[in-house]
Amino acid sequence: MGKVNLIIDGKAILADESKTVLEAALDNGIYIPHLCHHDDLHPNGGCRLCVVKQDGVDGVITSCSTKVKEGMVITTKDETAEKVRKLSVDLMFKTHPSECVGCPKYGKCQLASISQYVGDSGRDLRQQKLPLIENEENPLMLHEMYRCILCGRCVRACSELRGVGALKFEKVDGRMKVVINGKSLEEAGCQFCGACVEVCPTGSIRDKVGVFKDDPGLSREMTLVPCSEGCPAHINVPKYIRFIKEGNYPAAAATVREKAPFPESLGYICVHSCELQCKRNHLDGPLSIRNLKRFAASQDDGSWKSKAFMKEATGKKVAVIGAGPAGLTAGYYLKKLGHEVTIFEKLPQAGGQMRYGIPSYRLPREVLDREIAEIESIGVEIKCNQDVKSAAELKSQGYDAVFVSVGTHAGNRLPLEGNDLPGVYLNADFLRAINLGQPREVGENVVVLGGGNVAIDCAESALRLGAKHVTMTCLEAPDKMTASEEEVTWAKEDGIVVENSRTFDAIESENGKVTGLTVTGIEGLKFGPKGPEFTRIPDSTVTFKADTIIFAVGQHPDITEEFGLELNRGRILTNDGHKTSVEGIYAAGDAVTGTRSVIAAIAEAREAVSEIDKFLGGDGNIEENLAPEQFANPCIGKNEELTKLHRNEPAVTEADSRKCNFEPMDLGFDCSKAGCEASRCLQCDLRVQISPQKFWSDFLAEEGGQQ
Amino acid sequence: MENLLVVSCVSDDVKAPLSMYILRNYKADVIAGVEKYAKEFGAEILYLLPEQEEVDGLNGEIRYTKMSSPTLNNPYAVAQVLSGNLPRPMIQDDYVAIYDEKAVSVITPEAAYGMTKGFDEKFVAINSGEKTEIKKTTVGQSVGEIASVDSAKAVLLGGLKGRFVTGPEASKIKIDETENFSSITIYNEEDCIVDACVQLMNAAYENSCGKCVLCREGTSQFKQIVTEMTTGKAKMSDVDLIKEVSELITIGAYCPFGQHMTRPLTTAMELFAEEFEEHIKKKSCKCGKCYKQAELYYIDPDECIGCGECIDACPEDAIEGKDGFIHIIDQDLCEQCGKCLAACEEGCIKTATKLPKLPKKKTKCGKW
Repeated sequence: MGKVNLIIDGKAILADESKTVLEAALDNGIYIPHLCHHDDLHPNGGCRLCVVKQDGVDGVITSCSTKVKEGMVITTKDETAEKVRKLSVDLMFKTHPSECVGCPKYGKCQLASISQYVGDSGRDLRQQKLPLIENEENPLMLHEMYRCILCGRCVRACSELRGVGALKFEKVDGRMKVVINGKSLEEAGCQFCGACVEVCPTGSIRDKVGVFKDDPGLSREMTLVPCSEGCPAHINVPKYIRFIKEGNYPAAAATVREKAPFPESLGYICVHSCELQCKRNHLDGPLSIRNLKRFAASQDDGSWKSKAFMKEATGKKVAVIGAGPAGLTAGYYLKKLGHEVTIFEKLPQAGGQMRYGIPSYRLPREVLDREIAEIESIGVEIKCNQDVKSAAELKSQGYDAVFVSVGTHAGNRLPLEGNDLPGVYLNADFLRAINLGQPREVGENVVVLGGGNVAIDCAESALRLGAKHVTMTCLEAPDKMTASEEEVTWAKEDGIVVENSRTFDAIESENGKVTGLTVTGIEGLKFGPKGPEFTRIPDSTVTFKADTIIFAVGQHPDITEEFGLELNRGRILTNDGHKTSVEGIYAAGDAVTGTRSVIAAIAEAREAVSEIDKFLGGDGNIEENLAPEQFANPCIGKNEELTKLHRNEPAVTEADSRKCNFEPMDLGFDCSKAGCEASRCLQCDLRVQISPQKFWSDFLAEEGGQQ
Repeated sequence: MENLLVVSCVSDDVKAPLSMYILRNYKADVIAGVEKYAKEFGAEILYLLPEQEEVDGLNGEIRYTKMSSPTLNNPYAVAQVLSGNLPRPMIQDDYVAIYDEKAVSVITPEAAYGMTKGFDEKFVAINSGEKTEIKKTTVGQSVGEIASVDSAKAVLLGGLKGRFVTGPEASKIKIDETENFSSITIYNEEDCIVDACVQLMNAAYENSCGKCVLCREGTSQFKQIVTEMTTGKAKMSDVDLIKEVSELITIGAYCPFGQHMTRPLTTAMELFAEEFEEHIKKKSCKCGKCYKQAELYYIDPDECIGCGECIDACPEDAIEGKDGFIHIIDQDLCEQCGKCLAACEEGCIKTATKLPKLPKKKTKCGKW
């Protein structure tokens, strides 16, 4: 590629001959105002702000669409050019609202920024304000075209970048407008990619409030890709979904593994916060991301192993207490970083809540065993049946660092009369006993107190152990229960009765035997600083018949001060960087945060590993690229099917055949369902590819902060 | 890449409907010219015709369009229209407009005719009153030889991009091959120049492709300001405003149409400064065209019952009044949209060219 010499504002510039005058100027820290120009779009030339003076040429030239030529002499701050720019800004503000403060784009508007830079001349031109019409037809985007200055970037982005062409220009009552290219969005073929929003310089086309988080602390990528942001481990969801769509399942599995060493287990039991954030919630329901992950992970061929990092031995020793998801994750990465790792586990086998809490009908143990074996295979030592009494003491036995992840293996017992009678169980004990192969005895009528996923596990397990009537009761109203909707539905299919909005009054008993649970209806439930607040509904007290009662109202770590670490309300107290009160001892997972989720434990353990590695003299970097490079084609084209494809549900065993055993019930996706579900993805990550909007202050900052 | 030569018959200036005339009357010459040009570039030929115009025996594919725009001699604008979009020109170094994977170039029937017969001949549309006559002239002839312009009040040479000159001056001007002479529009003593400018600016607004801010908003502003000169809302300072803004638009607009669409107005204002001043200052029109049309709306104070219906109906908030008091229309805000007329069940909203005596302060209904 040839180079040409030119002079811009007295500065000699050597520029690539393919560049435009505008590009050459900006590359060299000379700012020329421009609005209809966008880095990723074809030049347009309509805004007239980038006009400059070229020596020997009458009038002004359009710098965004004029190529550099040898010997050109350009003046950007030419008097006439500046007058033209001012006039253009003047004219734009005759239709654009002049009051900025009330605009949702206030502070982020390129038009406002440019008008500040260019200034206006206060000419007595006529106000021609446009009718304040808001079009909310698009479920994800808001069109307030009375702010539109017709730069055409949205129209160009939709056709040039996306190949969709859902927007077009049209004259409406004589006035040029940007309109939807068809009678409806569907007809126009909108793919909800948000490219139009991304390039709009004003507040005309915006994301609807609530689609993305408005958190200035989030990176652009995390803001624009809500599923990845919603995942505690920030797994690159759109990337692995795209691999599934392409049929490259091992690559999808590898993508998940980049952030979590339990891809398949997560595929079975993840709480999928990603799905709660999925943009498609606003359309017709989120993608079934967890099931896609499960399918991909089941197709893993281990090809990622050749790309996984394994550092040389450092000679440092780290002890991990507790072989749950946090402990195993920490052990895995610490070993990869070259440290010698020993995991101490109190129970007979590794897995923590994944083995002793989550029932096997939800997570088949062979899946878990396989993933733990993978961790052991790189040299992580797991010592089971080892009850560590004191973390501090363990550290003194020659370990350079200790990571505590003891989880929450003790259930909470509510202060009700009769709470210690035989036949009253705690969630953690009840579920653990089943998984140790020594299930507790259950009667015919079981009442479970609680409305979370663990309560459902208890209720479903009781049913599978032979209970005839199982009732769950909780404070929360149906729509406020913490259990996932899907699990509540399945529980109801299995005949479990859910009694919502009740407060527990007393455990009834006769001759030392439980006979029932008395509850009273409530309303106006709120969680204040001192716990739940509500109003009792008069005359709504009833007693549920019961011979077995299970508390499923939270869990806490099974440790005391003797463990040698400072505790806070029974949990391990940590400071920044997952540090405990003792130097060199780190902690994460449920034991710190209270009962959360497997993915949260994994994410926190990864963070803690980085801190421990730095403490041991490493760089703390555990990022790795296990999946192949992916080309995410931004030109998605018109796909009329996209909006018609509705969420695929997995095959599930019928209630009658599942509620009497602990066999897996959710059979997940097959290949065709997975492909079909993956093609529903709106590919939010494509929007990140679009160059972010820049303001004149950004260019001046690059120039060296001068004005 | 393959080439496509589009014969655009939809880029005529509104004052010079030459394309279809030449294509129909000199078909063989046009076809020969197109053929010659297409051969040179190895291009396929496509004729772009206005809808409902049928021409037999053309040497290429025929496509019809509802669009008509001065930008449709620009290859990119033509490619846009062929793809079903609005015309928007693209003027850029080394830029190749592409349609159907072919590089587009454009020729008009007039240019094609010139390819065959040379460029000494020039077609000119002569507009007088409602009539349009198209004449074949020779470059070098004077305007006076082909049209009787001596007694004209004004002559517009060229259409929406043209300039006004006086009749005697026009008579001496020699035809050259530029577009400026594609039409000669004659205005007589009974024609109001300000009104003529209103028509021209309306047409310019309609013809503006809307791509560039200066042309799109400029035509919109000029249309409104000149119209206000015929309804009494404009100020004398608007004359200087138009001059100053026009100069910048001429320098700064994107395409030749945008750059020159101000010319009819600025030349008219220079040539007929008094007539403009009379419109603005005295709010009168000697030709009786302008202020006659501008019927003013008022509320008959004898009949108004003070119900407020008209206040609610007025999109400009131009009606003042409280319950039970006579309502009054603020003439400075009134846009004469007529919505109040429809809203008033009492039929007390009336129109007149001159307002009767109306209450100046708050007056109870029935006390006038």
